[in-house]
Amino acid sequence: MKRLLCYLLIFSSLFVLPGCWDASEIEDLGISTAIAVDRVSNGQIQVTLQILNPAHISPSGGGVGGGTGGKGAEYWNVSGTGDNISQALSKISDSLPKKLYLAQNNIIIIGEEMARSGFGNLIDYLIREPTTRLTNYVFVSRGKASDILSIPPNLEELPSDEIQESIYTIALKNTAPSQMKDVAACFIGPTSSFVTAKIEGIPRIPQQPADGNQTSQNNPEANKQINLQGLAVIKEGKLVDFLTQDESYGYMLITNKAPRIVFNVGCPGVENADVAIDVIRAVTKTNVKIENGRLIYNIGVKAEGNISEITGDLDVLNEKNIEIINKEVEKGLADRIKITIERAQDLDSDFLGFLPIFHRTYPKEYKIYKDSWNKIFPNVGFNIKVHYATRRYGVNTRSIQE
Amino acid sequence: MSFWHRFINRKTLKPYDHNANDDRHIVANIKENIKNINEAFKNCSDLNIREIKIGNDNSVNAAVINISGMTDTPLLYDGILKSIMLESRPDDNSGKKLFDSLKNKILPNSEIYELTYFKEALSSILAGDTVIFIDGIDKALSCGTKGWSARAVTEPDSEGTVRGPREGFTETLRVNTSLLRRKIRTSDLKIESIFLGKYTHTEINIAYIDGIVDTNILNEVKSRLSRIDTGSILESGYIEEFIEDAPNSPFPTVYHSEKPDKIAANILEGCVAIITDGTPFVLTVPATFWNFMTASDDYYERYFITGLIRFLRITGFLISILLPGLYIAVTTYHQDFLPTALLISIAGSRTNVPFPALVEALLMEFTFEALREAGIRLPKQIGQAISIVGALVLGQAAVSASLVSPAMVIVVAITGISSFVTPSYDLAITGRMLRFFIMILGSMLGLFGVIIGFLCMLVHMESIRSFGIPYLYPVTPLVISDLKDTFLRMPWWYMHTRPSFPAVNIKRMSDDLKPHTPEG
Repeated sequence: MKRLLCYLLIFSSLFVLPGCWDASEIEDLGISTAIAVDRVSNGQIQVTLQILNPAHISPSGGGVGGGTGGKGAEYWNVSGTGDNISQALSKISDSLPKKLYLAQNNIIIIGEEMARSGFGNLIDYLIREPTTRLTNYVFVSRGKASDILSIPPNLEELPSDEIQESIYTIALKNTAPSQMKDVAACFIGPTSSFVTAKIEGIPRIPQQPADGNQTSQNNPEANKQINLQGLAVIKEGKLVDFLTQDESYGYMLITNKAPRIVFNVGCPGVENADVAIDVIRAVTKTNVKIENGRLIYNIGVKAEGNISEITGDLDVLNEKNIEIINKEVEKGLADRIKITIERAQDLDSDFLGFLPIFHRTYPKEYKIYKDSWNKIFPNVGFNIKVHYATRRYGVNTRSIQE
Repeated sequence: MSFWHRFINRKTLKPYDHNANDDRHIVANIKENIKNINEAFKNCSDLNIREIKIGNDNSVNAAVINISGMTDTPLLYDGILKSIMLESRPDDNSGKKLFDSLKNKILPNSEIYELTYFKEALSSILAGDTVIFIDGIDKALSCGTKGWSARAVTEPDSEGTVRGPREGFTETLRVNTSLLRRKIRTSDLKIESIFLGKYTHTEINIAYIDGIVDTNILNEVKSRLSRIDTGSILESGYIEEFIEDAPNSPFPTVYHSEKPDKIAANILEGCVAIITDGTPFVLTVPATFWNFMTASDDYYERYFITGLIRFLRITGFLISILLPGLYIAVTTYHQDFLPTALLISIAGSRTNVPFPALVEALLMEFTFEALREAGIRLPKQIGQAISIVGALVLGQAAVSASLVSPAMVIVVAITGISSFVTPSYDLAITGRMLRFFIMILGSMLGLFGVIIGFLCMLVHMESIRSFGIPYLYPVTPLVISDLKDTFLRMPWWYMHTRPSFPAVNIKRMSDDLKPHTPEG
């Protein structure tokens, strides 16, 4: 009997000790799916959250994305301004009729202004916050970050969903989005330089005719669409510059993340011939040597591709023509690597990750030179070797236009 | 126990037994005997006493006594009354000679016993036999004339089967033992008889196979049965509660079935069957958790089908216990577990629901359980109507009135279906009870509570035994060779041995029975 009483006592304490303080019904949550952070006038920080309105997201899809605010919209972009992130978020909390919930947040967009002035405090806050996921994707936007969240989605119901879905097809895109945990690791990494994905709103072509909806007429972003191509270079926690398309592809090549890319090469020797090459695979190997007291990096790329389109009269069964095309592609790939490296040396920012290679190969020398890497890096030399082979010509051997 | 005795004054009362101390002999005077019988059966209108005169000169008084309705009337007329009234031999005059002649020659009956005690005569009459008193003899004859209208052997409603025998036990003990005997035709199948219940005097048969059964278990069964000192046994459920190892556990530790093939299979693996007169449900002990997870089809269908179905059953059992609790825990505490799209659809469907998830779940579970209970008791025609109303009320009206969310309806429906997957009704009820326990824990403590509840359940299952066998045997304690009939059923030609617990003689078949393609 004493045993039974003892069990009862232990069991009842289960209910009292942990308590139910953490419980909240699912419909009482203000679920945020994207955070946009901007620096506004007088140095204050503006945080914009995309809060879902689950009741108005129809399970069967459909319905044009509703603008910002107003009853009946699928989402609500709500902003708060403060001296720091916490203050801005608590302002949002004050105006939100629900409990702010960041655990489902998946996208963090940092405005250009904010990024240039440094965003370490934002990452610090988000890691400290117990509910946020470390797998949030971090983007740097060209222009204001909050504008990106106002771009109406085209295929999804929420702007954040459209970004999210775009990330899933990243293998085909010229960008490398990194998650919050990677960004945080880069902050404390040896080079303090890294890249994150860029996001921007570009004009929509063709333009969408105004649908008479008040909100979409008032929304200057209504005729834009999101674009994920390109990268942003971060150095010492601050945005330095954005990379061009070619530089971005160069970065992807060097870091072995190359996506599929379509090259347009002419074929010298054959008049008016133009070939589109679909590079489907590229494997890069980089090593480093010390030659005459100077660091030389050897970058070797092995690439493969297919012929996807031919303009003009070109005989692909002719070995010589293929060799010429291969050489052209090799030159194109090498050029992209070269301009990327030049850009990195110009910016004095080793976002390409050459320092870890030096570390692996020369651990002793690394200890001596790691602190002066910023002075060494602009002067290191590079040997670029690209080998490209065309694998598949397609089912038609000759162009049908002859 | 003294703690409770302060509040409850439990008097020690013995069950009343009219015949316990009756050691009267049958006397030579027939008048005296009839008087005693009449006195014992006072106000019993179904008693039938036929007083006749027998012997070659019709000079001896005799009485034929039985209970009408419990005897086979044609047998009584042709086999007893006709014989003793018309077929007396010339030398059957009186006394001992006549008695012996009746017993040995005249009565064409295979079950004839001499009775000495008055008590025996009473129980013989009450069992449906016919008792013959003869004047001048201090003994009586009992003739087996049991016979009453009984249900035929039909397919049991409680245990359907796709493949396998369709016969089921009936309410008549002898029919039931015959069904077993027909399956196991060996003299090693022992069927021992005892009587329980001071009023009901119910015959209980203990069936086992000599040579396979563990005598320790058999003796334990006998000693637990002999402990039962009660007034009445109307169904095997009474016995189950008297002999089970864990009387306060939600888990059953005695197996029961209506199907002779299941009971025969259990006996052949070393179990002891307890057959109770008056019910088609036969008990077997010992019973482990896995017994309740098997159906007879498992052994008749091909083995890999059985493996899949067993997996389905165990999953179904877990779902029927855990799913509503998990749903409540995840939607009120761990919303970050859900994929965003699912979170949105659950949150959207709950927008207008006025109740917290626990209340919503309890409401739906209550409705579901009530419907199910109503469906069992109602006649089949009305049962259908109820299920239509239930489906409409649950599926349509409650959702469109925003009383519950569609997600909860789905959860309750999946849980309900899963609980029907468990082959044993006993264990399914256990799942139903534990589900509410887990739901409340989940709503108060989140996943932590669900896990605590589940662990408590597991620890409890580990702690109970059934007639010496750990309840989760052979999984804990792990006996790998006996796992061949738990999660999977191995093919018959692979199951060379019986489970080493409870069977004693475990060799089942010769090795290398796997069929081979003939050469050439």
